[in-house]
Amino acid sequence: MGMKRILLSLGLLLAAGALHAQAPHELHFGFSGPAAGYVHAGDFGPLYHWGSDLYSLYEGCEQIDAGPVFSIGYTYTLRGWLKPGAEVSWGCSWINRTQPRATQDKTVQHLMQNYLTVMPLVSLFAVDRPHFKLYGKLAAGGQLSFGDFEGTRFRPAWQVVPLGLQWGGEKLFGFAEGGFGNVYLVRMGLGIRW
Amino acid sequence: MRRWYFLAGIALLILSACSKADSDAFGGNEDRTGNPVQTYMLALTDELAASALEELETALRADPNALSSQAFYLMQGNLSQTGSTWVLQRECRLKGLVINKLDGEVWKLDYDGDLSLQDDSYPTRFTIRAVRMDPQSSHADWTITLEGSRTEREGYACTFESDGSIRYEALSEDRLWYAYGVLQMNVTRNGTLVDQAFLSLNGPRNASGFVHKL
Repeated sequence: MGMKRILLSLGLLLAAGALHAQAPHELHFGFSGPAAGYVHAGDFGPLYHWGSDLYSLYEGCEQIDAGPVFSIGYTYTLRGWLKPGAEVSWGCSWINRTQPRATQDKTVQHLMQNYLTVMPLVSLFAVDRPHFKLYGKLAAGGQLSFGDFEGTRFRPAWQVVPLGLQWGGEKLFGFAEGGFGNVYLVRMGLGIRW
Repeated sequence: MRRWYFLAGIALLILSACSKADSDAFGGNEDRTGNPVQTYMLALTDELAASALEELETALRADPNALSSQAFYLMQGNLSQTGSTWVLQRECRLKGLVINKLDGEVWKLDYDGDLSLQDDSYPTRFTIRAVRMDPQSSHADWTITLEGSRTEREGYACTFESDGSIRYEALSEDRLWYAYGVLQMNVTRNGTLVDQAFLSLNGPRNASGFVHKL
């Protein structure tokens, strides 16, 4: 009887493996421009002077920029339409303080803040064809920021992707996502399945 | 077919890399295309000087000869009159502006109070000597000399003065928009000179030139 149960369990596992024969593991490499929420107003504090008065012009920060966000994510196909996983993203923003009265813009001070976001996620697939997939995604986790502005800070992070696309081969594919949250508005990338 | 998918994906990656956060993510100061000190000086010639000329023209519109009969305008409460001196009483940016006729087509405008320029209001004093070029027109060209000062926060202050005269051309009933001349400005912090700037007005606003001397 015990042997029958073992054999039955193995058979079920094999059957499950057969269902997931189309590579259940996915690894994504993506990057994006940062969402507006990626640059938190509080990060810059008193360094950034609003207004157009003389103090703002001669001592305020001239420009705040944020760079692209790089991400690595992993998902596992639990069912054809359901893929839970997690992703890690990194990006940075910086302030270039310039003297506006200079004949040429001159960086006086360069300050940088880094953002590391880790979020478990779940992807829900509406279309799951071998060469084209359509999905949505929900992610929530935390974001650690560290750098020149104010040291280290941790805050909750989230990301909603109403529309994601995957296209390509069974093992190598491209993807594009549009959404909103703490990490990105539009993200593109490449992924592999095995 | 797979190759095209792959290339399309690469192209999208490249496009995504070009995206960048809006440096105005917080709103606020949006003038990042031109020098902000130039914009500040343009506000002096526009929001300060041109606005003062507009108030003067409005006061004179009822009677081109000025001061001879302003009963209509005075009755509306926009001006108060003491002798030959008008004071602007209308609720506007330049409320309190003092208007005196000097001679012929020459007026003197004086202001001493809080004045809002761009987004900020600070104590400002200025004097404009304005000459109307066409006494027969209710909306004429004007030639002015301007000098004044402004005291702002954190020890910052500026003095400004026209280099000779500035000519304002009246191209519309609503706006004295085209200006020709030079305005210079000294900026100090706690009494120490930190900048000296020159604004060259060449007609349309976007044709102005700008130089820092320090």
